[in-house]
Amino acid sequence: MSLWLALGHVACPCRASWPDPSCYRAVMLGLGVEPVREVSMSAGIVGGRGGALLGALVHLDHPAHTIHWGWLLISVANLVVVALMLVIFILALVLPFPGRRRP
Amino acid sequence: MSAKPGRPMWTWRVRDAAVRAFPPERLLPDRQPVYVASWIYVFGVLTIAAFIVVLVSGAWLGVEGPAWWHTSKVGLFVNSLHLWSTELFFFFMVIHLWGKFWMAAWRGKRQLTWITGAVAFVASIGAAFTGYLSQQNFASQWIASEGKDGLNSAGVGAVFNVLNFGQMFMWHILLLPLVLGVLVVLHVLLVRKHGVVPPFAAKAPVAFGSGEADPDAGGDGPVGEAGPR
Repeated sequence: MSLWLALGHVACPCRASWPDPSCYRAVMLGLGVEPVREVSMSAGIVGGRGGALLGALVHLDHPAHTIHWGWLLISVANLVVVALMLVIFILALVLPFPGRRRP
Repeated sequence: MSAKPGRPMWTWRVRDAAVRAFPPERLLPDRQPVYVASWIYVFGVLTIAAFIVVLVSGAWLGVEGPAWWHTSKVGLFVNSLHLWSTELFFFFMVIHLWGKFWMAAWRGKRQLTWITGAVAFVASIGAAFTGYLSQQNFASQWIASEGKDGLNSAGVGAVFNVLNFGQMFMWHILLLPLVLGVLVVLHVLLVRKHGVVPPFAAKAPVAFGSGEADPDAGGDGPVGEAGPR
């Protein structure tokens, strides 16, 4: 595995599409190395049956979409998480707590 | 090691000092101020719950090793559990931070509670960063090669070498969890000692477990109503 990782790190020519598993898979196959399993960039599974199931819901097999506005550069995934945090923060302030006694 | 006549042993003195600093009735209160009945007060304990999952899943990964977490189904599951509990840990912690910031949670002699929380947040970022470096996959190599330039440009130098896997792994599984664990315990003890910060509109109505006013509280409005939780 370490040889596979080392070769991939040196040989992958398409840094622009680095998160794309097909990128380094193609390089590995070109070097005659058969990857035994795809492992996602964030430690999850993108291959296999579980990946196929998740892939049916959200297509993740592509480079990250980003939003660039002036100095601000953020991936859509991170922006969604930040927006979700803001929504939950506001809901936590306004939603009544169960069992709270009102005067 | 016997005590001198008339002077208690050091173990008794340590216990006495600990009980005086953290009275048991404050550590496990059965009553809380009424303003605690709000969802915004839930995110601290959610952060701790996620942290426990992070520690347990991380210990499991540490026992089994990289070959296991990259190739076996259970290993991949525990690896993902470690990642997503970390994501939730930060998610809850940041909302907790926002809530406490806008409440000015350092009021009422709670400066140390705020500081331990803030330092724990910074230590968590370091723990997460070294965790990404310890994945043993393409991402960790990519993050290390990019991160070294950023850290070098900030003048960090070779004392913290992100290309040194052994060093980063030890930071991730030993040093930073130890620091973070101590800070979290201290943070919780301080919260128990001083109580949760009241909203601006309320004075703390009760000292924990006593039903009496808490002179350390930082509120400045009308007194709220105590209620069981």
